[in-house]
Amino acid sequence: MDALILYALFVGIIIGLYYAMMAVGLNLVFGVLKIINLAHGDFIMLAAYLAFWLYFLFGISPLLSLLVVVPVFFLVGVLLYYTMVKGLLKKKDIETTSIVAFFGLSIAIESAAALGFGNSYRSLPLNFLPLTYVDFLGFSLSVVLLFVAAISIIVLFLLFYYLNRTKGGLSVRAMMSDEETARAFGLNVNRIYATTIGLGIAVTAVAGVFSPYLLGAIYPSEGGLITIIAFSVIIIGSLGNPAATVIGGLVYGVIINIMDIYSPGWGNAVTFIILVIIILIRPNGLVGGRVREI
Amino acid sequence: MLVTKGIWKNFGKLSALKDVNIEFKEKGIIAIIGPNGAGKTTLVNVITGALREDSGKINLDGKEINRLPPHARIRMGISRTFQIPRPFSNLTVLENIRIGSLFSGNSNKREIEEDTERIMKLLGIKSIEGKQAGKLNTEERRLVDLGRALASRPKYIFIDEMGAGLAEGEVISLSKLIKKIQIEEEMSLIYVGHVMKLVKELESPVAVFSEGSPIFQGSFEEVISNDEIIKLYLGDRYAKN
Amino acid sequence: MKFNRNLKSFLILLAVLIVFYAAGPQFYSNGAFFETLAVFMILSLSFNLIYGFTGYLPFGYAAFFAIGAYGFGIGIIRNFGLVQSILMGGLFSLALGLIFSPMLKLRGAYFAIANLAAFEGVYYIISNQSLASITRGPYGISTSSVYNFQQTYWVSIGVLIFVVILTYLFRISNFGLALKAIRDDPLVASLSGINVGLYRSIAWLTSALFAGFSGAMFGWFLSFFYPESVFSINYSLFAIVFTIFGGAGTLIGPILGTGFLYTIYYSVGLFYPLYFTLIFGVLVILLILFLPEGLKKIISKYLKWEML
Ligand SMILES: Nc1ncnc2c1ncn2[C@@H]1O[C@H](COP(=O)(O)OP(=O)(O)O)[C@@H](O)[C@H]1O
Ligand SMILES: [Mg+2]
Repeated sequence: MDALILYALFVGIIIGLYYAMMAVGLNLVFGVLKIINLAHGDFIMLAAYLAFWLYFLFGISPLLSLLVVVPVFFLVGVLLYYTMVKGLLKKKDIETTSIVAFFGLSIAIESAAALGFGNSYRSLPLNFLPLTYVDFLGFSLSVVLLFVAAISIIVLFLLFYYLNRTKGGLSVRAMMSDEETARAFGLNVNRIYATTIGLGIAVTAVAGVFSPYLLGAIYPSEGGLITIIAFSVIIIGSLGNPAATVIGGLVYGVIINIMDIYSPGWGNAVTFIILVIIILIRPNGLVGGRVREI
Repeated sequence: MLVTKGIWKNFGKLSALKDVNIEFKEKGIIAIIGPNGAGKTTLVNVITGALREDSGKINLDGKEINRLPPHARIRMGISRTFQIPRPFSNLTVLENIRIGSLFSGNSNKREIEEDTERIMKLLGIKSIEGKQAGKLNTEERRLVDLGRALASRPKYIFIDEMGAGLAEGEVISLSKLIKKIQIEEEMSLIYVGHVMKLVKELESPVAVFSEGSPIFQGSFEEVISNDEIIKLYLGDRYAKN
Repeated sequence: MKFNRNLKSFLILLAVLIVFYAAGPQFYSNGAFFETLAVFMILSLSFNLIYGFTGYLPFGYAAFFAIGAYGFGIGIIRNFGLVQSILMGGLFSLALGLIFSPMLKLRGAYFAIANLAAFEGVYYIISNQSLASITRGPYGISTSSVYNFQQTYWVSIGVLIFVVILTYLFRISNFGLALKAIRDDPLVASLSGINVGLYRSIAWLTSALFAGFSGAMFGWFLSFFYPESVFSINYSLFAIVFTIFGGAGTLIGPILGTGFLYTIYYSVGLFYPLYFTLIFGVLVILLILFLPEGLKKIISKYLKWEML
């Protein structure tokens, strides 16, 4: 019993790291541009398909496929900025307008994916790792989980290193905390916005590549659900604060894993109900302060 | 009588209102002045219910109204305008004024129509009644905002900074309008502002706010001869001592 | 005078709708088309009551539609009687609206996500295996015992006319004026004496109730459905696209939008549904970027007529 709890906690933390990587791009984009990318989960799905086809057609392992996936999705993000988001930022009520537009985008991507890839479930092989299971507290623990957790730590580290220690990252953070001043200092707003979305979607795409190991098989309409999960993670942390997403991911990972072990049938329903309750009573998350009233 | 007792309101570390005790009589004009950031607008927000005070009491004719939501307070006769006018921009001028009357607790249809007409004529905006408020100029927006506040037949009306940015002649006609409103509508009118010229023209008692509380009450002449207040407005240089 | 003009437009609209639905099937004998068209008109008009009049955009709106179908279905399999079951569809949705109503204090992204999450939550509850004794869980509900196309059709038209009248009342009444004011500026509305929370809730609950009825009509018409057949985000998409395309906040807009887009969908899209959701998705983006007020804007610009 004690070992089970310990095991559940450990695995929860492992998948929590993945959830943090999976959600952080959404929060980065929100922090800088103040828009919610309701198509976030669809980029996970698209990246997963890209990795799948690279493997299926050319035998490229998921790890190697990152060399293709990351730059491709960075460009997708930049393109998205110049084709759609830039126009949205000129609107009166940016927040609502952008949610509607991204809702449309999400639906469009999902239908396009279903047309292009069909509705069958796809997954990636485990054999790119030398070992599949290790023994942990008497339970068998999937090595790929540990591997993905390590990737998540590296990606999160690189992202925060970029944001906190490099010139480009500093200008992104400047936009996040005080846009007007940043503009006044002559920062190239369009470039920063485009980079941010590119970066956010590239990180998301890394999570997408490994999604079959954690989120389950790839299928065209999985994105909607993933967006909601990503949103739960960032809201448990704090909306607009990418660093807090790590905490959000860990908390979410532990909760979901314990739920999965103790009451499997109700996992999804309870997750969503908890999310709604959290949004209602503590919209600024565990890390953020109290919300200012009108 | 509208009375506040020991009102405090903090924004983070800043106390915008510090132990405010002030009384408003049932009829007549009173001006509340004070430098920018003194807490005047915050007081209006708290009295009308737009913001919740941290502590203290607000009494209207002996009844405590702290716990009442804004829409209940206007039904008891407390109305206001906004420093930056906020008419409903998708509604017409006529609809803006009507709303002021419609939801103020008066259910007599004819009186609502009459009030709406009367207020539009009083403020000289009858000719633009069909225009959408979003398309008005600043001056017209101010008048529509005021009209909406007046249409509720308020017992107490707070007019927040209508005079800012006006030329000399406009200040005089505005003060005339304010006086006319008070006489015709017979309410207690609280003019909030920092334009001295306008306050002078109103010839009313004055309360001076500084750093979150009223520091002085008296006539305009008393105010401008008070050293503390001169310092407050113009800096030490201009004070006699 | 303006009142009379509105009343005239309204009466003409009612007449057109009745003639259309009465005579339509004589010319084009595809009852399913007219029935589903009516169902989605009810859905769009109900959605319009909340989005068009208050500005809240519930992406999970399909939950009301779905729970309406389930309320009806559960009533039927328990033999509560036809009328009672239809009412149950509406009431289930109304109850869900009540449960969801604390969300109205949220804005923007928070409201959007909370609503989507709530939609998923309800879906996972209804389709849960352990509730199969009540909802039939993942196995779906059959309402074939009361299948009677003519009856379904005329009751649907009746509900549609009811929502049309209701929307008209929203449009011309002081209540509607108050909602417009709240949409513009909730704080000033509240300081003008409008009970913002109450008025919003009334719009929200009315909207939920009628979305529930549209779901009940749909469940009756389908005669058998799985959770996935009604809990589909595509129904939110329909309501959103149809309403914005026609002109949110008007009476005629959602009717025109549904009539136009659903007819195209039905004639082409039914065979290529994915192409159509793709097109509707892109249409949402284009509308919100370039024509956020929809046909309403075009009509007022070129025909100089403020749509009722
Ligand atoms: N909603 C608010 N949030 C934070 N600070 C506020 C808010 N409203 C007012 N303040 C602060 O409270 C102080 C008093 O403001 P205000 O009442 O507007 O002054 P006045 O109307 O006398 O110019 C100012 O320092 C202002 O910055
Ligand atoms: Mg002020």
